[in-house]
Amino acid sequence: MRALIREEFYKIINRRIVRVCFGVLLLCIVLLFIVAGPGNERSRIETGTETRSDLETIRQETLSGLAAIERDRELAKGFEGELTDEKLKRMAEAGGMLEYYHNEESISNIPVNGNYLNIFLAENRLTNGEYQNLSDYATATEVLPLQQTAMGSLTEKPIYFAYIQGWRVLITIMSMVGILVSLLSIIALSPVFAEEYAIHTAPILLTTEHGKRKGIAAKMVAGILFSLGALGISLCITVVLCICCYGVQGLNCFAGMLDNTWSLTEGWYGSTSYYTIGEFLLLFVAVMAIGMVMLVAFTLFASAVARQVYEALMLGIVFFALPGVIWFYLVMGNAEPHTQEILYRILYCTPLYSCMNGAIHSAVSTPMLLLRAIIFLLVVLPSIWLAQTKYKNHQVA
Amino acid sequence: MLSMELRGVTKQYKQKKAVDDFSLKLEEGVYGLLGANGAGKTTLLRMLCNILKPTSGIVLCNGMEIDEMDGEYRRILGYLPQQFGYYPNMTAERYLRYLAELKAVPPGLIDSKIEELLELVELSEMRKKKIKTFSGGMIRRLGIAQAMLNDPEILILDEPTAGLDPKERIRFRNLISGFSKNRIVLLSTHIVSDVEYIADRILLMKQGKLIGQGNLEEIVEQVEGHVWTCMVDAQTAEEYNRKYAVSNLKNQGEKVELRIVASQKPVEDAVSVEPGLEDVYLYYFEQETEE
Ligand SMILES: Nc1ncnc2c1ncn2[C@@H]1O[C@H](COP(=O)(O)OP(=O)(O)OP(=O)(O)O)[C@@H](O)[C@H]1O
Ligand SMILES: [Mg+2]
Repeated sequence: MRALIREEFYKIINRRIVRVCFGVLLLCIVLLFIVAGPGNERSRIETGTETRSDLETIRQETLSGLAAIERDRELAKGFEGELTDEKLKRMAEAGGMLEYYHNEESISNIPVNGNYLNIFLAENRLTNGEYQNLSDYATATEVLPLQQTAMGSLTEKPIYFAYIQGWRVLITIMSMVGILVSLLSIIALSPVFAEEYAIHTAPILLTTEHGKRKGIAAKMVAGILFSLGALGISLCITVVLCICCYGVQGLNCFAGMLDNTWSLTEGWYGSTSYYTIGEFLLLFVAVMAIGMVMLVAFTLFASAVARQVYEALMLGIVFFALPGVIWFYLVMGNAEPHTQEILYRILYCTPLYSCMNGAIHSAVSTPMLLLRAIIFLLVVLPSIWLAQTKYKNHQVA
Repeated sequence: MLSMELRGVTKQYKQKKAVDDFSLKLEEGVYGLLGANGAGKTTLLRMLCNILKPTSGIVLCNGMEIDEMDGEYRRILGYLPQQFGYYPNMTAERYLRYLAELKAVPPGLIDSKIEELLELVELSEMRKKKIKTFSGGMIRRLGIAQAMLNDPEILILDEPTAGLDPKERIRFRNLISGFSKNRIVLLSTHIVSDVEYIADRILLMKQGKLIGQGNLEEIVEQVEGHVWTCMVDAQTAEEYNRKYAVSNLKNQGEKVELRIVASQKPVEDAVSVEPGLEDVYLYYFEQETEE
């Protein structure tokens, strides 16, 4: 069996298109990382005021890229550890309060002096200022007592502070990696059965001893190994890039800091706000892997029922992208609230949304986990069963 | 003793009955399935390999239905399809290794088996080359090698010699003769000389039906007295060629010598001659040039 899986795996990776796509994928990861990571980093601190032509302006020093990361890390390092009211005050002193310049034209608030500390305070609503309120933004004057904030009031547990920018970048890129690996999987696996029909190797394979049993299992196992392998390699590269640039600290912080949503929803969706970032990342990878297996199973089914590779490819892409279309339909407000609610829950369990970090945050309640398990089984078992039946009974005519 | 049996095997396509109530018993030996284009040979062989379900009728191996035997049947089966599929980017060796794994050749024997077969079909030199760089004949030979990987007791070859040059054809005959002991080898062809030399028994297939079988002498005997030669001028030759089944046409100076297959004496001065298998072919399949 091992030898068969090896041969099937070799057949998958031996296609030029698969190799090229995988190369492009790795390139995309590096580019995405540069753009969404260091390329996007700014760190500004005030260095005093100056008066120029009767106008008093704040003098500030802005760093970008790796230098910005370096300084933000440095700034945060002094405060790493459990958050206290006293620590919050000192953070505000060190980083200043976040100020915005309101741009009338683009109707947006542009941070004037954003750095890791004051953005952390503002985004997590730990100050009396306003954050991203377009109409009447008010700069904060003081930090709030921790107990009065959503972050502080929702848990008894100590809140750990650290520089977690790297993990934020990681989950953003992970989402895209997940989508790209999904597309790669569809491209790589849609020929698994369909090509055997198309290039007339099926009559030979199906007349060998293992051809209708172990041979099929080997194809499926190789397909899953390929997808999970590609996902594993891509994620490892992303993690290594993140750790190299941002450091490894902060895995024990609350995952709520990643997107500044502080909620403890007990209802359908649940919330990962009070998971640690480390736990959240593991959960994300697990959910992504589960979604990937679903996608592989469906793609193999598509491959077995299609006559030509491109038919399987189309089916696979439709299956993967359909939840996105449905989401769009829902956003347009086309469904009644009740239906909408149910559809959202189902959408969150699809391979596409298994790649989206936003969907992971609220997919951990028991009902959601159950729903995911049910959808997983409803997709995987019939797909595998139908794929092998269809292929095994392929009529060479 | 190994045996195969077809009972009333029929394959009905939408418009066409490709195989029509075909019954036959096969025992050890080499069988040559002879028929015109569209006679139903390929369809028949596919049903024998259980990759096409008959519309009605059953195929038995040693008294058991092949569909029920499942892997047991495939273990002793070797098949070369008429349209031989391969992976263009694989090397010959890798391709054979892959199929050897699928055919459950014991891992320890795979290397030597591949070596031996590549030698037999004269592809040793090409073992590391990608199949897409092969000529048509080489691909055919690779197909023959692949069918024999598992030392099949039942070897089914659909037009194995198509595209082989005369030297390779002779090699193939010897290969099959050496291989066929205690096995069933069934090969289809419309090349008469293939069958003439290697088949122990000849099966004649026409419009999905078995219309005759026997060894070479028996088959030829059936056409005894139906083969004629005559000398005519070029213009008459032209005319007869249209009118009769002409198995040979030889220019002899001014005149042309015609070899005609016909139930009745075609012309007064025609002389009856000994038939050959080619004449048999014409005798049976003369009207069948539809496809
Ligand atoms: N899939 C199909 N659908 C409909 N008709 C078919 C199909 N396959 C074969 N046929 C018809 O069945 C008949 C037998 O075809 P088959 O391929 O078995 O002939 P053959 O003896 O192998 O011919 P050849 O010598 O050309 O290979 C032909 O008339 C063909 O048109
Ligand atoms: Mg044929």
